[in-house]
Amino acid sequence: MFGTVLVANRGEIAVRIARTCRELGVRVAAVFSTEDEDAEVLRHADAAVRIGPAAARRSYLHIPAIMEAAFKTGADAIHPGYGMLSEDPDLADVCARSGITFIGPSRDVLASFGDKIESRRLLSAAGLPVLPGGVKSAASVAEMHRMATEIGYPMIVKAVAGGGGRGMEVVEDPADLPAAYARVRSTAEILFGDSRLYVERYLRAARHVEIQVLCDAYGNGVYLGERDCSVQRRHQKLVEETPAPGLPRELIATMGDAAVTAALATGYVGLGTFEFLVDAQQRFTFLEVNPRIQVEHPVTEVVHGVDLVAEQLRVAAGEPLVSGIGDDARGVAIECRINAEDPDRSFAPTPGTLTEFVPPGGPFVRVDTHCRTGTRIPAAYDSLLAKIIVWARDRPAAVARMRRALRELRIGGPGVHTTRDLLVDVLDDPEFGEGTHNTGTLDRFLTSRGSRPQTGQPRAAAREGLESARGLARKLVADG
Amino acid sequence: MTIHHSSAGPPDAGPPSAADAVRAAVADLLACVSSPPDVLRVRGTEFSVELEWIDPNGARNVPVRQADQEPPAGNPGEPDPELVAAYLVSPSVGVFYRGPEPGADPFIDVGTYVEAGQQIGIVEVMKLMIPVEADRAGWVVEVMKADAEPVEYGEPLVALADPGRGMG
Repeated sequence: MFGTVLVANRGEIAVRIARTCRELGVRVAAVFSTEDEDAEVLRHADAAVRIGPAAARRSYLHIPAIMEAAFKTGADAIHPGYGMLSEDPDLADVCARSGITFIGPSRDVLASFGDKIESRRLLSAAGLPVLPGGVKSAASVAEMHRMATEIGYPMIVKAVAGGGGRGMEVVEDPADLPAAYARVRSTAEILFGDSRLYVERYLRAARHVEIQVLCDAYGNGVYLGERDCSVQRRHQKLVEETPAPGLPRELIATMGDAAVTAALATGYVGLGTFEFLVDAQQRFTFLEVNPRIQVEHPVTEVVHGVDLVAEQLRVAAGEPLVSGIGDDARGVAIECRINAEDPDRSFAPTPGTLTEFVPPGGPFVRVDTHCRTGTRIPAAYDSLLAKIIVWARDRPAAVARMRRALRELRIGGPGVHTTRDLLVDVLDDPEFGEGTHNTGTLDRFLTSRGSRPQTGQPRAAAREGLESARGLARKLVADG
Repeated sequence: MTIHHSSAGPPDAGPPSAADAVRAAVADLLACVSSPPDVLRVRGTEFSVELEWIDPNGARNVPVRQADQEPPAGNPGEPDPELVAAYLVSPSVGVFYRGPEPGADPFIDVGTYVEAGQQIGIVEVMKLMIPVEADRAGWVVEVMKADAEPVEYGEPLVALADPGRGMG
């Protein structure tokens, strides 16, 4: 097992990783930017290094800074968390050359899965069914028109270098295609530095069901159940659960076996998630691979009795999979994401200070967070504040427990809005209660709720961002 | 003072009036703080505004020195706070070197007078050598980091006294 692990991330996942390291007797090295001087992970770290200013690209995303911090702290491994550099083949490469273990798949596997067209091709060859489209990138709007006509509408325009729900847009009608092409192209260039686009058929009312895969370095692989993440806003997950309600276990077993076979065929080592869409006829198609730990990993941990971060560390340290891991699954787990966003203003981020934060507790309630009363929410990073996870013997009991836990949470601060109240409404919704919801449910729910329509227009977002900035500026002045 | 526009967001954050409005808001903000910051960063798209006052003690304001104040008690090894006007800090996490190469003389030492822009050291980041330059003129009162010592982003390297204060 490693002597020291450098946690190359921040927020709740940094705390998560540090906790497991502590349980395994592994020394924790943390990094922080000037915006995170009072980060929660520092309370769980044996060493900490300030690596840069607020901007992620100059701190958490800056490979030289991460590596220097690893050298300074004597780390023999780096855990990249999720987001940030977790899927960056360059970090994996630099680690390999520096004799530091990157906790994740190899540079080559990350490069393959980072290219969504290559990823589709690879996994289709390994036996996974894929949606029509995605054979090559479209060099022009005209070419995209031709491809879209072939695969049919509605279709979705996606960034080749994208993923995680960003840099994608559904197109219902050919007339909307040129504008969507332009928007996704510019987003892709900014977010991923790669403006290549492709198209895929879009399944409107599908279930998002993902398989948790774990492979060791000796050719052994298992799947640890599935997660249903169908409650999404613009492809961003808000509620996740396991097992997927109402889907036959035989279907899940077929998907799970297919995912493990495909993972092993690509030489995958470590934890990974294979995302699928399941249509109304219970046919499944492959969406993408997330070659890292995921935000919603706790629901799997709770139902399967596994510490997934510990498994990542063990596999990376060269240990073989323990036989029987993942065989036990009990009950139902649900996770809700509490984000610092205002659902009534197109989910505009609301940075600020949490003057109140009291998480729920009680039987079978778990809260993964980096927040406490007084935590500052910086504007520079993502808006996830906390994940509330509940377990119960069956789904109605889990839903009831989550409804109780959400209401028990006390969270707020000047100018801070969260998704908590929206989640309460979602959990109270009959469609969710019956488990008949799909990926279109939340967007319909939001529209009927009368919240401001999500225009997706850059100017609207800029205006709201400007108002946030003004509010923030006033706050800076008030605090001196 | 320069306002740096981060290129992390789109170069034109909406119509021209939005960018002007950001500038106006930032100017309002600067008019209200008690002392001008050393660095101001404005990001686009998500709109973050960062003001930085460089002070190794973590204080938010530039301390006002009064001639009749007792100098605060400190460790014998620390520079006299009365003398120190500024700290030159590391531009990055990495390894600090005092000279241009192993075995060479250090760029500066205690008692050296530096001009603005003069190189005072190097910070190595993954084999990339970043020159560290003085952002103002002054007398070197103390060098806080040893040759080949790892440093953090923003960590103080060299303490400078005002040019007007002689070292006699």
